[in-house]
Amino acid sequence: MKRLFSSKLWIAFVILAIFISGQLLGAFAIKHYFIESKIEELQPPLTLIGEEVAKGDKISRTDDFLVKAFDVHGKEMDVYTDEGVPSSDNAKVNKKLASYLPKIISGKMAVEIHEVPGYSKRAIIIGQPIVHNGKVTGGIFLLKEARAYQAALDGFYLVFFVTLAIGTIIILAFLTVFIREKNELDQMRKDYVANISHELKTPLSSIKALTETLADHVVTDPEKIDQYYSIILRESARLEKLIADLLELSRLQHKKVAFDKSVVDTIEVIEEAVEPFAILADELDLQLQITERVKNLPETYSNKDRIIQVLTILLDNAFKFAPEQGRVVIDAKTTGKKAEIRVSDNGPGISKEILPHIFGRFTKEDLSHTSTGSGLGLSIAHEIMEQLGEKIRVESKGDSGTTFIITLRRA
Amino acid sequence: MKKSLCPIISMSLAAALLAGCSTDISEEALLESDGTVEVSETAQAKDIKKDSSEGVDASFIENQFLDIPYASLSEAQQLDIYLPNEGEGPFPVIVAIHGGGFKEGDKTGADLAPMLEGVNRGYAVVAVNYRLSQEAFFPAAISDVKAAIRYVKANAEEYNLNPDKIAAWGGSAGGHLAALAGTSGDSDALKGKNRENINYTSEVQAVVDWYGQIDFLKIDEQFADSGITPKLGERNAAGSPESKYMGRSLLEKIDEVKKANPESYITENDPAFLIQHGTADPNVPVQQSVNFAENLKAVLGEEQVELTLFEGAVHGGEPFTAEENLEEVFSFLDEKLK
Repeated sequence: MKRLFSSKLWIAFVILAIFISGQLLGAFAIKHYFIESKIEELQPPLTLIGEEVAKGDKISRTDDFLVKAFDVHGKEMDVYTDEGVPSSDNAKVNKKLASYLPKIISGKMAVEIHEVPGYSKRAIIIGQPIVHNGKVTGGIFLLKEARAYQAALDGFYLVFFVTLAIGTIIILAFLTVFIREKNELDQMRKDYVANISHELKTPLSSIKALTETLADHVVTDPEKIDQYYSIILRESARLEKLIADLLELSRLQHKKVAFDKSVVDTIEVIEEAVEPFAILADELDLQLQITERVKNLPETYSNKDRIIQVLTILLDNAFKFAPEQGRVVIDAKTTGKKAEIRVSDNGPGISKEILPHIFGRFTKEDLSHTSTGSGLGLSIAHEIMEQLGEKIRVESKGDSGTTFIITLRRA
Repeated sequence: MKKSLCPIISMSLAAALLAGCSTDISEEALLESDGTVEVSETAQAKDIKKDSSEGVDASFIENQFLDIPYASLSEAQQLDIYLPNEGEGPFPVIVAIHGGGFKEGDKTGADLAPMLEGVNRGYAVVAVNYRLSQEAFFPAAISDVKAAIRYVKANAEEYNLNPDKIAAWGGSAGGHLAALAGTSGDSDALKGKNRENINYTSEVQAVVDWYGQIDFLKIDEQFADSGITPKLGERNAAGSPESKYMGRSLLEKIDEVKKANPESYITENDPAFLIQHGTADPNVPVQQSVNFAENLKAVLGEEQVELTLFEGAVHGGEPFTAEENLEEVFSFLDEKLK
């Protein structure tokens, strides 16, 4: 697939093939319908004339079309009452028509649009056998100039070329967008692998270094040894969390699990999610504020556990970025069919460059390895909300903190 | 997801175009091949086959002389003589030559029923067997037919036959042999190895050629021009009935094939011809007869050559054997032989 699309030649080939087949089929269809309509129009009079000629009668000349009759050996028979003006072209016309005789005699009616030298550049030729008492005595032809056919064909080519040009432009535009998007996706994937490797390597490196030091028995101070152990433990925990988050995200993205939805008491959900953070807030000396509007939130239709998971991620994030003695606010807003929950901190805010990528994988603003967390939290939150059919967005005004907003459908 | 967008767009575009025209194609196909004709074709073909396996009913004829050898090269060289129940001779003779693509058929085959009808109209009918292509190649078959005609002339008195009033009549391969015997009657060629009655000529006074092959080399080309799908495949190929008759694929024996073409022997002395052919014949193109008639007319004149093309008729069957047509054939023979 990839190789196929990288070859522009292939695309050009497809377009060319469509063009050629379209042109051929279109011209063929026009010819077919034209011939069909002409058969309908001209065959009855020809059959009548044929019957008269078979009986030996003659017909009067008309301007509408030319009638020519031949015996089975290709010798011309007089069909008109008047002599007509014998012209040098007559022989050419007869030669052309006589070439159809074997087909006509065999009962395969010939209808063709063809050049008839001496008559017209494009003429419709209808031929049928002259039959008298079940016996074929010759062939009779009706010739008529096919001007309408040429006009229809010209019209078709015009419309076809214009449509094709527009179509090609649209397809090319599609392709350009598609290729650009694909390249971006490729780049993202590469970045992701690089990031994830880096993230996994950092704690591993420190664990390895500390373990080596301990194994060498270089450090003898028990206090230091304890400290080393606690660092190893912390780093291991971080690694474990990172891998757990990766697996969670991977699971969410690969298996499009449909979450069961039910009517959820939104206030209860928020309280449940906030509870562990209330204790943490005291310890960290942060101010956790829940506004009055939260307490007026209506019931929503969603998945309780998942909303708690998302709120936990958002609160965790807010706590991480709130400065010392900072403030984390949980606010709400109710509009028409939707309820919004807003989690804000008064931390340093997020820079404009990073803001659009905040929900991507490993885009924790500074990827600060000092802080805990995998950097995948927001990605997981985004993925959950998307699968719930809800939205998550972020507002940040430079240095005046960040607000994450999730929407929930009202029950 | 988006990967598949482009091929889908292009394919649906192409599919839409195709769909727009697909109905046209099928309609065109229907228009070209007239279904009803083909059905009746196969039905008629089956009838012919069935008939020939059953054999002809000659029980109504009182005077029969069967399995008379007319030459000594092969068991196949025999003929049956049927004389009219009434009337006095000497009777004019119809030499009836069976068809079967040079490789099958027999003098008692059902395809000779129309000729045997002559017995009721005052003709003696001589049904001839000739060596088939499994036994011997060209010119064995034609030389046998000519030997049979000579035998009729030599023994005319014995069987109460009129040696100066002989017609050759055959269908398909029999038509070919009748036509060839007709045009080559005044020629010394094609006598083969048969030496019996060599002092007699094999001239005949009339020929009825029913859908016989004339110019083997043009069969393929004429089928292509006519738009009819040939039933027996390519005739220039080695396996075709004509190639087997010639002993090798036609293109390898062009000079020999020309010798087998009745047109090669057309002279002013040739007998009168009645040529009948079906316009939808899938075994022998109708153009064979059209061209042959034209060439004959050029030398013999319009009066001596009659060409009847039956609309939609195939290789044998109803329009040929119909009462009305037999009337026409016998009035032609009456005119030339009585």
